[in-house]
Amino acid sequence: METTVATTASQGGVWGGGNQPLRASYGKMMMWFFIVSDALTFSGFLAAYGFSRFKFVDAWPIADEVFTHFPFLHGVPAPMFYVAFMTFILIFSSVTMVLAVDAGHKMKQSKVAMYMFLTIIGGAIFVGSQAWEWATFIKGEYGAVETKGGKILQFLDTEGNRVAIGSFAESMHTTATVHEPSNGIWFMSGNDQTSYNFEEVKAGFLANDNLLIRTQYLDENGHPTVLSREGFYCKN
Amino acid sequence: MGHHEHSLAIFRGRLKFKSIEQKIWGVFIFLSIITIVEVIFGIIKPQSLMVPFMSSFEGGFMATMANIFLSPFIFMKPLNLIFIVLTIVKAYYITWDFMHMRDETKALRRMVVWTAIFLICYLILILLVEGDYIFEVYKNNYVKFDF
Repeated sequence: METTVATTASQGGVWGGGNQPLRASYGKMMMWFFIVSDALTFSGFLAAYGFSRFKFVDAWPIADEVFTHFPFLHGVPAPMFYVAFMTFILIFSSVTMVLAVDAGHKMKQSKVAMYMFLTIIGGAIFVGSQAWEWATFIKGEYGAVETKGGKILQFLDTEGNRVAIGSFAESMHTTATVHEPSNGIWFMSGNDQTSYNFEEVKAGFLANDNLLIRTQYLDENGHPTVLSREGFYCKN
Repeated sequence: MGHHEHSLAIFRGRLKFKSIEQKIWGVFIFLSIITIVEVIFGIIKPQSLMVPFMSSFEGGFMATMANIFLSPFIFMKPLNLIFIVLTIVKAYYITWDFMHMRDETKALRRMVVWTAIFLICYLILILLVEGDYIFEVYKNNYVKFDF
């Protein structure tokens, strides 16, 4: 294929596009341009991710505690296994792509079709996995308290297991309602109504001495800090 | 059909393959081994690799220079350093054998690789320095976390 391109092109002479800098045909050269610019695009995404992590370097979620799910294995903790699986899919689909190109050079049509099919399947599995991970990324059943500053406080028992807010919050009579744009000033609206309000969670927390609060801040060992209850404020 | 003069040896000629197809599978096996090593490291997370090798130098211009030049060993967990090195090894073999960079002229290789490396390093430097600055602002000033 390359030789065909070379002969056609060289007929145009040096100034007619017949020159081949670095012994690469026009198509191949443009492919390298594309690959470099593609690499830079994704570097932009990854460096932006690094930027966000560095902004919150002392409170970034631990990957092992976030990516613990595997499709069809609900409730089975599998830290990072799905990430590893996706890496293999990615390598394998690049292998089948290279083999498809190689088979194409040898004019083996059915082989090209097979390898291209495998590549597409691999790509679909990878993109599908990304979509699945994103859709199930943040899904909790325990609940947490969000502070006014945007920080998250979680509740633990003394063994370090998560405790659902619903299991200890005391139900109180509340007259709070969500402020909707249809009431009062039409262009203003309030926050969503939470399942439990702050006073209910606070009362439940004070009534249960075995509850602890975990913040997002990482301690020197890289674990989120659990606040101690040694103090006058929690003795009620 | 043009006959491609593919280079069929990897590891500086120590490992030779009979055909381009065999080379692709051979490189795939090598990349798989590296990935398995990465996964094992990622799951075990050896305690000895979770703290930096060295502590930072104190005092004076030379200490600052040493901190800059030895920064991967002073400010990074060795585990992360290992991951970065293994990732670059994988990127090398994907580019060289799957993208056939091995068969290009030396000038083309250098144009593609060093341009990308320079721009990516520059981008990372700029964004991480800026991210660290914003971290300090959040930490030392009364700025809301989700302003």
